Amino acid sequence: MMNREELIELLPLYALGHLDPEEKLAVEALLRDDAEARQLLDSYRLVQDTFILGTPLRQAPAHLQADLRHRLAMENAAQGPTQVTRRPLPADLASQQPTQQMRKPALRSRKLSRPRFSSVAFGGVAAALLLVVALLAFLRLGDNPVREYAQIIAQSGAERIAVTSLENFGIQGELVISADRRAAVLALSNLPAVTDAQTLQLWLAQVEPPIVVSGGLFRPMPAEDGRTYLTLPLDRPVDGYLRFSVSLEAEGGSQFPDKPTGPRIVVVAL
Amino acid sequence: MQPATDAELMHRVRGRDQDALVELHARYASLVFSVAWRVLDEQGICEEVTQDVFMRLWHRPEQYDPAKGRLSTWLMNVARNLAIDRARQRQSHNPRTGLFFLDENPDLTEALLASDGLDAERQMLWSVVAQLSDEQRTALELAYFHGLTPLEIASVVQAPLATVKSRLQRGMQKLRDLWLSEKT
Repeated sequence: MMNREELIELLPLYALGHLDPEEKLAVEALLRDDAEARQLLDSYRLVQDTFILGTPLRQAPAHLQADLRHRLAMENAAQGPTQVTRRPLPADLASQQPTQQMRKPALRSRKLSRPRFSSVAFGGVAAALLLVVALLAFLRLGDNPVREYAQIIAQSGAERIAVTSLENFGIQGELVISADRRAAVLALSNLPAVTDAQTLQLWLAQVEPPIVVSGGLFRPMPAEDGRTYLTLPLDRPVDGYLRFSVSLEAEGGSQFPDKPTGPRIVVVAL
Repeated sequence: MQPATDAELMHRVRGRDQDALVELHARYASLVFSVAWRVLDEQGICEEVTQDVFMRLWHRPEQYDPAKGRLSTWLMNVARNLAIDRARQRQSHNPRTGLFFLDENPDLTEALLASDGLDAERQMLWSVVAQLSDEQRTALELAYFHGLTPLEIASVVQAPLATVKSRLQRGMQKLRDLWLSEKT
């Protein structure tokens, strides 16, 4: 058992987040009861925050400001009152379930857990990735998105978010989210014609860690009601995501694991 | 007309005013980008980190607490955390040290820091950091700008773990003591 003096000595490492779990618990126990220790920790944190000023400075690229405006405009388009509306599920909507004979879209499994590629190694890894994609080409995510959609909208407390497209693609549809927030299905109509040399790619932007991951490649496969249904491959509750989007890509998908290469045609901001 | 203060712009950001966010971006994007560059040294990812910092401010403006410090240093620290996360995701990461205050363009530095009164604080930090030993400075750089654990630092600098922990502890203590004495 460490005494107070030893624990005080550990405060710099605690401020840096570099203590063993046991040491961390002991320091936190001290901090709960010792105002002087808390004050000392605050002073270490202040110095630590100031350390950032030692960064060598360089000019940000000029195009970033236009990019930011574009991102804001895209979110605005997706969230505007005429384009995205959140509404509680009316009780009678459950009766409008699509038939289970509707076909599900061919969503290819291409989910990447995280971008881990250095630029140098990227080319080789991307080639390997494409091979894996080809091998998995016939695996489908989501057992039956049409059925899942029907099950979700039948739930009390489900959420429906109306979706329209960006850049005048004319896409319409909705995102339905289950009551427990752990399942979601996108239903999209008027998806653009996709040639053999093209594909659509789903993207999921996480809150923490703040990264974007691919949710898979797919092609428009309209069900009987004309909509293409996609079960989103969530690995956390929906609230762990900032937005979902769909991009139009060359065959094989984006050349980047963590962002589209082609234009985004749908963005659903949460 | 006086330019809007950070507090005024943040008030507008909380009211969903996109122009206010763009104005803060114009003011601080280079500081944020510099931090990302310090950690990652890869243009495309540094640009993404920069944009993510401002989008985070847009989505979660309440996370910034003015009582805890300047907006500029808060943004820079968010950038550091995001950049370290990105660095950990990369297969290879070669942390660089010895880069404190190595500005490429002193005029740019002056322009970036003058608006927020950071230049005097930075000068003070410079004089304080210069009094650390090289070993302490390197250990702190690796811990702070690269998020390396003491064990990882020990591997990078080829020193025993206990020595690295001691360098971090003593370095932080010295920084704090010198900083407080400079302040007073």
